Amino acid sequence: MAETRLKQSQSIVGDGWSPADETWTYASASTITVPSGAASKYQKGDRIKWTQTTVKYGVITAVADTTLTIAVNTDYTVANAAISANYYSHQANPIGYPGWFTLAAPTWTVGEIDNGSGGQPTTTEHEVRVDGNLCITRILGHGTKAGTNWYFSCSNVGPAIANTNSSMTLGACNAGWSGTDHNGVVRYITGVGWFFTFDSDRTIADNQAISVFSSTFSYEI
Amino acid sequence: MSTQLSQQLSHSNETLRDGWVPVNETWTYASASTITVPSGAANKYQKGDRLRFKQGAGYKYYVLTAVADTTLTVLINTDYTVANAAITDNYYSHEMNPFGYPDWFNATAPTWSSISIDNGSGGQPTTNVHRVRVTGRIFESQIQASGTKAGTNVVGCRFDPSTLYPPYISTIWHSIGYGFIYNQTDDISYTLYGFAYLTTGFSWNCDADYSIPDNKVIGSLGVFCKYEI
Repeated sequence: MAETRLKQSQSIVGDGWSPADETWTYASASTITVPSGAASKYQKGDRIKWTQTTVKYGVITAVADTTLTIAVNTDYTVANAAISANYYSHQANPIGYPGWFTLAAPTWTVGEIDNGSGGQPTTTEHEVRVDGNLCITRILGHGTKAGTNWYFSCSNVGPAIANTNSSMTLGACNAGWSGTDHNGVVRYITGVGWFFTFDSDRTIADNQAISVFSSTFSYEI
Repeated sequence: MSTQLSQQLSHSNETLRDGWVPVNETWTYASASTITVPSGAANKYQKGDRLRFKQGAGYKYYVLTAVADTTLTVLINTDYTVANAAITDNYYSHEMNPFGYPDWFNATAPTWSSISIDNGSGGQPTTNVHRVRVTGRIFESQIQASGTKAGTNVVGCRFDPSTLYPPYISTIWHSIGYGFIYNQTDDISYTLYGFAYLTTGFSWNCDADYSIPDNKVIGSLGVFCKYEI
């Protein structure tokens, strides 16, 4: 018995991962069913890893009594298959944990920015990481301004924001094309979405091709 | 012997699993944001470490912003303050996310400078959200407020952080973050650039060619800052 305990200690200290010592089962591509009492063991920001043929990694964004929700991403999803070798970690950087995950492109409001013909602009990077209760998101893309207002917006950006009010400022952003840069901020407007916002006296002309727009912003989850 | 060793290892495993390490020493109240500890604290604790202990029922949670030989200073917040009472069940953690640690804390509303924003009649504007956190040696805050522009200048908002935030160890004029002002009635917006102003203030200003009119209603002011501690 003591030898088993010692091996567990050495394992946890060595790589930062604690064996879950319980059965996890598939619930959906981003949720896992666990035994009752999960809120006494796991919390937002915890890293998890499990094996379904290959080793997979996730970060917890919500915990209910019998359900763990991970940040939705395109690198690792929960398959409808048996889960083995399941671990968790409260640490920032347990061995193998990727830190950043790739997300599907946000859904842009095409009345504000599009691809020049009413379709979605191109999102070339959409990455997310979660540290504790902080989510950091990175977006890079290009498109065409639609309309003459001083912002463009999107939805489907990472985990849900918490403790927000009306209009929170989350990070700097930029939209530029040859010889011109517009600098602004990314805001979250409750119930509406994520806004790349610029000074109102520097509106971007309708149909202006934007060769790059980008931001790294962070928010509480 | 084997049973005793097994029990000790089981206890160690629990510590490793939840991330909290028992301090095995006596802590005592010093002030609402400082704790007196045995000499040698700088060899055991550092900025960014998480703490938890009890003063009555339930754990209180803190994060360290300064360590002296016999004093720990924690991030000032309104969720948890150190009471003038006995401290029990005290733990620390070097980990980012030990179990139960809240990560973000509520903070008192800043006292906004009278040259930046008020309530329309010289009083303080409304601060709706003020959240703070520390990870490692990075402090960050998020503020959302509303009010009325005071004065014709480029200052979107300004306050003295010295009684609210950990000391700023970089140089003045250094960039600390961004902000935004929105006036829904006129549908106008101003991007603000945050910096450490002189020695006492954090200021978020708009471009110098774009000052905000006096008495302009500010439906929403959002600012954030991040700096090394």
